Amino acid sequence: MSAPLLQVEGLTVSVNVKGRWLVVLDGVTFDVPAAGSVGLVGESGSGKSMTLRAIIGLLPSNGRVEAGSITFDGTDLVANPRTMASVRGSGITMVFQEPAVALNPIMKVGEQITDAVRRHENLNQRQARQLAVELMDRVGITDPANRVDSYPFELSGGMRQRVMIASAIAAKPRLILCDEPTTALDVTVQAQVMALFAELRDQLGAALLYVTHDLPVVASLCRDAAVLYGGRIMETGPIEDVFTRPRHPYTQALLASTPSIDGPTQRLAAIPGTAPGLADRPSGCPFAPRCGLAQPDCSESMPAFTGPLRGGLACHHPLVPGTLGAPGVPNPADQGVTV
Amino acid sequence: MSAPSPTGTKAPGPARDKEPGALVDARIQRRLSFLPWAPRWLRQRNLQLWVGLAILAVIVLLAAAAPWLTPYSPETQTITNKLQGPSAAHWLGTDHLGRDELTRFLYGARTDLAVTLVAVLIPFTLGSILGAMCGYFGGWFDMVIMRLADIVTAFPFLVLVIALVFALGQGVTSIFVAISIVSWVAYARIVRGETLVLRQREFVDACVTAGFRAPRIIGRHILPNVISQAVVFAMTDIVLNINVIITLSWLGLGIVPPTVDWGVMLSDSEQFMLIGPYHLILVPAIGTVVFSFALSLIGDGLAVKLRAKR
Repeated sequence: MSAPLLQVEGLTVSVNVKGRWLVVLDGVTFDVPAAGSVGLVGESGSGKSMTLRAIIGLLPSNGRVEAGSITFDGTDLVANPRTMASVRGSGITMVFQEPAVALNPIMKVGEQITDAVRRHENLNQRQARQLAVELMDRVGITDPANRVDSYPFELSGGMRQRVMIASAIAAKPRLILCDEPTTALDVTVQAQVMALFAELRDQLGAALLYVTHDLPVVASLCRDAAVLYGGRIMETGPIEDVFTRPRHPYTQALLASTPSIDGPTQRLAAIPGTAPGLADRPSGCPFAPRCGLAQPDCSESMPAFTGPLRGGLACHHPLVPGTLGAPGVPNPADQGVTV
Repeated sequence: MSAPSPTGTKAPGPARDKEPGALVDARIQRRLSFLPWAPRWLRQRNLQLWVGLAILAVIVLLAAAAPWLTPYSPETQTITNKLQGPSAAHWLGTDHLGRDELTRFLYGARTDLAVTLVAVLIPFTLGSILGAMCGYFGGWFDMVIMRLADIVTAFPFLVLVIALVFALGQGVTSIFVAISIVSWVAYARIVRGETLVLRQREFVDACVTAGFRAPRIIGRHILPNVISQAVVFAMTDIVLNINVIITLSWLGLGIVPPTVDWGVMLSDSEQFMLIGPYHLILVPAIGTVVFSFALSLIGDGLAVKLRAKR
């Protein structure tokens, strides 16, 4: 088996809050195979976006990588920041959550799309324009020949996100990081953009690392999933395994709190409590205080991540597939979560 | 469009209703407008900008065409002709050395226009670039530059300029250096503040993820977004600069005679301020006021125009 395109190993990131270094990511480990698609799932504050930002070297000014490695195509980006600069754009690109603020307001969208490409290849004005039109057509923007001269404010949210995607794929990257790219869009547009991602994934051969809290999105788009909670990887595996036979109580709880259309009408299950803040991370398993299956040892020591990278688990008392979960946490199999 | 309403309180037309901010914008524009009592169609023309530009254009044209407009030289003295009032031969009279006042006024405008323009361009460029770098990089660079700005600001403006001109010697170059050292600070602060706001927008991050390096991000993506505020301020700054230059000349520290500028003219005619003839002091004084007024109007007009665009 060839080496994966992106390998994140033991990634530990801290941020400085008022003089104290607080751990945001704690030994995050997963990999993205070439042309694969991995969904990084978790609640708000679980460190999903921070993971993406660490990969592309965009940590906030008060954050730093404490330990671990991020290996892209054989090179450790943490140890070689210079490589990072050359990898951006042509190797790794990112699609942001808010297309409204992720585009330069005073630059024509056509120019923005090809800006990155013109850096690598010597294109003249006409060629660049031609390329912009092609890319806009590719991402499903109607009438690209005219839209190429529009400014971002003249486009709708969905169109802007398409422009973002066009500029991300312009330089033919091998890995596209997606930071909840459909969250800011309404449901219909969301579905269209999802379809576009699926299409691009199959056609471009680029790997996708997709961050979201929206489980159905991951289920429909990604081959693998990694569940993140409190800055730690809880469970990884192929999407069917993680979503239909979750072994970690957190994964199960997360699945149980996903609304479904075709299941029986019932009160939506919520995970009791809230995700721990950065300052008061428990010493044991971060999910222990909210976990229905927690035993005394759960709050004492952090369970180690065991098993293969694809299909591993960090839990002292994993669920046996097929059994019912904790009281109050319905089995997702009864919830009609479809994969 | 219906007849213009004299009070201007009429609801805006359907075309303006699209943007929620349009009504407020119209109100602000009305208040800032050069002629609040003018009919609506006139008010919406951004009058202050066009009037300011028109006045400036007249001054620039007059200054540029000076050699063809008057038969006299600004330096030739005819003592027998001194202190004459306006006449057919000398439209604005002559000064205490018998030089034609109109000629000196036009040639003075040439000096002041050129010096002012350069004196605003240097700090504008320097300050904007430094400010954008401060806002973008932050950290020690920002710290050093901004403390330097504090030091410059701590000195009273005129005292510092006078001290610098004194140290560097009299002349146009000294004026450039002195004004540049002092007034880059305002541009740097304005652009830095705007850049800090812009830095929070994700598109700057998006530029980084696309692989752009700092100079390109600052030059191509940040500066074009923030420069409008600096441009508006530059118009005010020109007014301040022309006043500084004229003040320096008046103090005998600026333009060196026989080169003529309005400051030199003011300084020459000061002795006649109380006893007359009064036109000697009125000509350069009115010239200064009108020039400053025109630039202020342009600054106002640009501010309205750029706000409307946002």
